[in-house]
Amino acid sequence: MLSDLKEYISTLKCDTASNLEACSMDDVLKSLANRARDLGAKYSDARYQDVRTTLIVVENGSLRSYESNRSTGVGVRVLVDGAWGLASSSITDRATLRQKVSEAVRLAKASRKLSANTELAKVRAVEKEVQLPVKIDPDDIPPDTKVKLLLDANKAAKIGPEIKNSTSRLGFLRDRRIFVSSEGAKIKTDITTSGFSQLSVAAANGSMERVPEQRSYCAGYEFIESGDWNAFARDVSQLASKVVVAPLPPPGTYPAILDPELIGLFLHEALGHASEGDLVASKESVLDGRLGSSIASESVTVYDDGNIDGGYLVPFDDEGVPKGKTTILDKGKLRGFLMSRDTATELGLEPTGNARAQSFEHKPIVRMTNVYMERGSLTFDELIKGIDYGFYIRGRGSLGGQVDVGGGTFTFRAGPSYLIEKGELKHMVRAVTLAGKVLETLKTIDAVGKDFTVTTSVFGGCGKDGQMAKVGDGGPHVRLGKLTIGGRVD
Amino acid sequence: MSELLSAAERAVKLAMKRGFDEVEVFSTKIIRREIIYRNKIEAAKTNTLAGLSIRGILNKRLGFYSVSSLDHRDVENAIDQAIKIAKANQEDPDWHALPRKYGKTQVKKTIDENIEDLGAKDLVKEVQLAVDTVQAVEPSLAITRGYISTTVHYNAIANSHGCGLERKETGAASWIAVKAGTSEEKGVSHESSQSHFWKGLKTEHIAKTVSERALKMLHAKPIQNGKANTVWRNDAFASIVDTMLAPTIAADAVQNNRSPWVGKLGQMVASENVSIIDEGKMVGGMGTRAFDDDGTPQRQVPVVEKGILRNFLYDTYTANKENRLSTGNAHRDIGTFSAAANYTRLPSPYPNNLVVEPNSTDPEEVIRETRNGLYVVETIGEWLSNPIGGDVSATVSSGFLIESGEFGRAVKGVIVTSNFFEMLKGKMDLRANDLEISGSVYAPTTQVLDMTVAGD
Repeated sequence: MLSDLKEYISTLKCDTASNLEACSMDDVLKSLANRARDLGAKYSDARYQDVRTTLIVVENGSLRSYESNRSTGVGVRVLVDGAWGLASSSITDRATLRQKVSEAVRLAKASRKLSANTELAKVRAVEKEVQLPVKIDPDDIPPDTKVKLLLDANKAAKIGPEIKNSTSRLGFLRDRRIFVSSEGAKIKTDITTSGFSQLSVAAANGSMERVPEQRSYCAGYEFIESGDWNAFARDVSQLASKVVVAPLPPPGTYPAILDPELIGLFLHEALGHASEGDLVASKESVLDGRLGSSIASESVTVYDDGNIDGGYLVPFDDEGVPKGKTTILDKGKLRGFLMSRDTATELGLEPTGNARAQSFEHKPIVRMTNVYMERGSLTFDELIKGIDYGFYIRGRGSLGGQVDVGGGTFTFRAGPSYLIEKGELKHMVRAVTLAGKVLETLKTIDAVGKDFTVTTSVFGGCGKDGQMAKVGDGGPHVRLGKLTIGGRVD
Repeated sequence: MSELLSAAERAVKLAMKRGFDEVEVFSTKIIRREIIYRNKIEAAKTNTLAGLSIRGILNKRLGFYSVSSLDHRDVENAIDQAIKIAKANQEDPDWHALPRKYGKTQVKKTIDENIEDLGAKDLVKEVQLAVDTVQAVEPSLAITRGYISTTVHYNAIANSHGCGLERKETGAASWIAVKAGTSEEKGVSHESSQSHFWKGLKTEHIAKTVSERALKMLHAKPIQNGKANTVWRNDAFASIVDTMLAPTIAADAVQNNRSPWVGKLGQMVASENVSIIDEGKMVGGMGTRAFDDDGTPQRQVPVVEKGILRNFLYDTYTANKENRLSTGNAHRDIGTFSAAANYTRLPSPYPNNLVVEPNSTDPEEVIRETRNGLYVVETIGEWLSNPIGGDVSATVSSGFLIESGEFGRAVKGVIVTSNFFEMLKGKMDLRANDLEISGSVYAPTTQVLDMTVAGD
């Protein structure tokens, strides 16, 4: 569905009630950017955002909550003598917003003495509107229809007395943004995401285990209608009831196969963050100084792509720069970093459209969009054949991960996984924690599968510097020679 | 009466006119200032955010809608949406009623009356202090990320039973990351300081601490697989307790069977030496508020008393379900991330200031007594541990060997694991006296015996 969008540029017209407000907002934003220039800003931009979210939760057969929110606001950003000043407000009358421009300029001037002398890389000022095609607006579906779907799925997950808790959720996000700059850029985006999630808790032999799992897609309610959520919820419960009696693996460092979900998480934590331009510019990243050098085997090619089926759609960043496809690793060689306009100047590279802000009130900072590995040529059987003793690490039921970019240590939590012995899959092991050092682990990738999946989540995202961003990730099945697995010695 | 409380009361009246049986409105205003810096200032920022939520009940059916505005037209629209949701909703057999009485308690040191008068120059001066402190330790050190912020947070709550309350809190935060070394070998360290008071920030102290530690972390390596006795620095251990205990002692988790503590009330769940209390009125505590997000006064709740599980934490809804009183633990900030404002969520129970009771030992004495092991200073991924199954795991991003009771070489990149239920029952009995005001969970420096280490 997303691939259709490449050629799809819609025109938002000021002919419906819902668009009227957004349309007149263009002029407001333009006047704010101009006012900043009059007050002495060399560059300024203004961002308007209108976000609608709905989260519906059914737990153990009853509706626990149905929360809907609409958040709107304006943020202005001004560059005065190389210093950034930002001011934002959810109160959007003209007087308040004019006041905010003055505050932003005042803040920038106050920090001039210690300022980083920021300079923006040149970009073409673009005027464009991108609306994700949505067949069924989730807001048009009556609340009781959504609740009924959840109640049914929640019941389906109660597969036996061992399932102590079943929590099913529907989530919807519509994020509309307008960006206007003093350079003449004007970008409008309108992205809708829908998703279902299931958490099942199983108990047996005096122990308990939980398995969370979700599916999301950049689309309207048609995505929910296209899925069999009863079967999905039942599968999660079956996994929970199996894993609660599974053993923990012995701790140590082993070869492993990561499935597409987990290779995505691994790349996000181990490579994606380290390739963020702000962390490279500050020399915090372990990839600082390594551009052009070989940091992984030839089988590894990794992209950050704003428009990949299954991922979160980012046609433009919050500086009005188009987000295309950025090559991070090409056949093992470090080819690119993710850039904002100011980090591009600092590092002497080109902006890549990766300056993203959680909302109108946040400063755009360098963020990933969808990081994934290009597929290779091997089947799963060929990947597993080479492993004498190791683990098949699965993403279903995974909780996420974290990286210490400077120290170069990453970690993530897998879902229920499997032992591999003499090239064959053996018994299930409990959800495990994995860790490694970025540069060492990348080098141990020795075989890449030929399947391919990218996923995103309406429920979660990536946290950095106090901001949450919607991201996607994925790739094929991949074999790593060495990964540290936390377990238990009895 | 503030603009915020009158906006809430107006919205309650409007919503009642539309036909709800009961209505509650929770409103918020946040003013935040922040400076983001590295060795130089990256940006100076200010935000104003205001909004409210409507919780309306119609024939035991709940409608909830929130909007980032106090404007009459937006509030009317929010009420329409809430009505629409309530009408389509399923009846909640557990719905009892909104509170008929709100209450407020006396709390100390939660408001810095001077924080609003601070100018950008004061924040810039604090950044300069951080930069100078780091440079004084070693000129080659670099601040890779840092921020200084102040927040003023106003909340009001009103309902159709004629109740109305408002509160204000202030906050200041300082966070810094420092790097030592070159692109070939790096040492990195992070520290933060939080307080309700601008003068309570310890920017100079944390800048010095991270600088010295980053230098030591330059040559950090993993250690061998096996078992080790460990000592956890207070903040790092608090984070484990936050992950493992905070979500599972909440009454909704217990009522819905997603807590390992179901049926364990009154039982010995920890060694006699362990007491854990939720101190809702802790002087200067970061979770201290005059009333919770339901309008109930906060108080002290013993959770584990000398090893015995005594209480769970309740908001009004979960308390009504068991026909008992709320413990003043309603929160609307759970499951949100950073700036997502509290008015956008329904209340659910959560700790206010959860405290693992300290002992009288000095932290240095805990290290000496441990003799040989691992001192854990900073971890990543500890929040991925499993509070339901009890598996604790964390990846050490900054730590030191303990050799003959003294600090040895730096350690990073190992996974340490244990079982939380076993930890409570005798593996964490040796604790120090160094409780610090930081987040909403507090623990002293704590020895954890016999952890599994996955390393080289």
